[in-house]
Amino acid sequence: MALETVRQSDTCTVIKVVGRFDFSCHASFREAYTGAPSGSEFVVDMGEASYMDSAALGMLLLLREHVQQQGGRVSITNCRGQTYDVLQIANFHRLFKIAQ
Amino acid sequence: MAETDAKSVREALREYEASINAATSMIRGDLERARTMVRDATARLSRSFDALHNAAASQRAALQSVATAFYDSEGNGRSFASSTEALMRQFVDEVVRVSRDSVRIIDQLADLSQRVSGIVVSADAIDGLARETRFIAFNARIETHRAGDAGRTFKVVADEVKRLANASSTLSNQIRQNVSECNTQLAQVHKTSAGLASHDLSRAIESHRGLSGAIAKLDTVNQELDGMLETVSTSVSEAVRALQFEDMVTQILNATVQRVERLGEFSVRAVQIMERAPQGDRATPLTALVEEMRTLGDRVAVQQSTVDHGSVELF
Repeated sequence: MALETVRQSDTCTVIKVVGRFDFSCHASFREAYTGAPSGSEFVVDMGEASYMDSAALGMLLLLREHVQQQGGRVSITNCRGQTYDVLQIANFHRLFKIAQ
Repeated sequence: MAETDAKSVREALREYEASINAATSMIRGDLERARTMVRDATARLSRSFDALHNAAASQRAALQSVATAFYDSEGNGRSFASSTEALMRQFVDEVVRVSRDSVRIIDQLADLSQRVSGIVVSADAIDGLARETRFIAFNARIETHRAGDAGRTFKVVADEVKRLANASSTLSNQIRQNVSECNTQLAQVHKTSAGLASHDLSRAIESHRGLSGAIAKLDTVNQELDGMLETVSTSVSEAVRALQFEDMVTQILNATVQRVERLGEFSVRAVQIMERAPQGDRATPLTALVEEMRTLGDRVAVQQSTVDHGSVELF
């Protein structure tokens, strides 16, 4: 488990998940978005994530709530394998812009 | 001599007539048996094919009822498969909702923890004040010593100030202890919430995949079954149509019986001519008879009205 947060610009933050995306990422994940300027765009890059559980889904939902309050946008990219299946079974396609 | 010969000829002719009649009736009997055998065999085959057709139809109905129980193509949500899928979706939604709320509680715990840390800072500040107050009380006490008797009453005040400073320290220690207990409990809630938030969804994915696979498989089997039953149905119809050869065989056998009977009749008439007509008058009726016998070779039209329309001349 690891998170790499890259502030691409003042308005766009990329949160890159490496390895397991579960509760152990919670603190750093929250930190990654609470500090961002309001109206920011967030991209959660799942390219190097090997696994995600329901805690990760809960964190994504809270990120979405935060972003909606701030008037920003959030998308999830590079989903494949187990992470793609989890997002699909949870019907996250209705809530997020998801790219494979 | 000639009379004896004529008598022998008559006897021979009578025997010939009897033999012809016996042979004709034997052939008629054989043909009748053949006709019965063909009819029975056809009836039995027809019944077998009907039974086969019915068995295939009930097999199809049984399999279709199983398929319908699992998979409802109209998707009205009553079938086993769609209700299971809905239940699974509801379950996953619930798990995700609980996870989100648990993570939210943990976020709130973090904020709460920060505020609790603020209380410790305040307790430390109270400690600082108590230390300063104690120092002031200590200094006041020294001053009362110097003042001697005049400072005696002030010494009581200084002691009281020291007692209050110590009480403040005790209070701040109590606050710190309470905060520490509070932190222990917060950590416990944190741990419990983290457990509530974390669920592996692999099994749900596997189940969902299994269910989708089973539905797809049933769909394929259902389609294949439709094709197979169509084939069985076509084959049975084809066989039933082919069985109509019985009709043709019966027509041929009937024609043969007629022919054999006419052959017998002709023979009897020939014998009668030989027997009854005077010797010089036999040629004309015999020639007429032979002429009539030629019609035996006429073809017999066999009707094939059901197999395909029109008639086919087989003889």
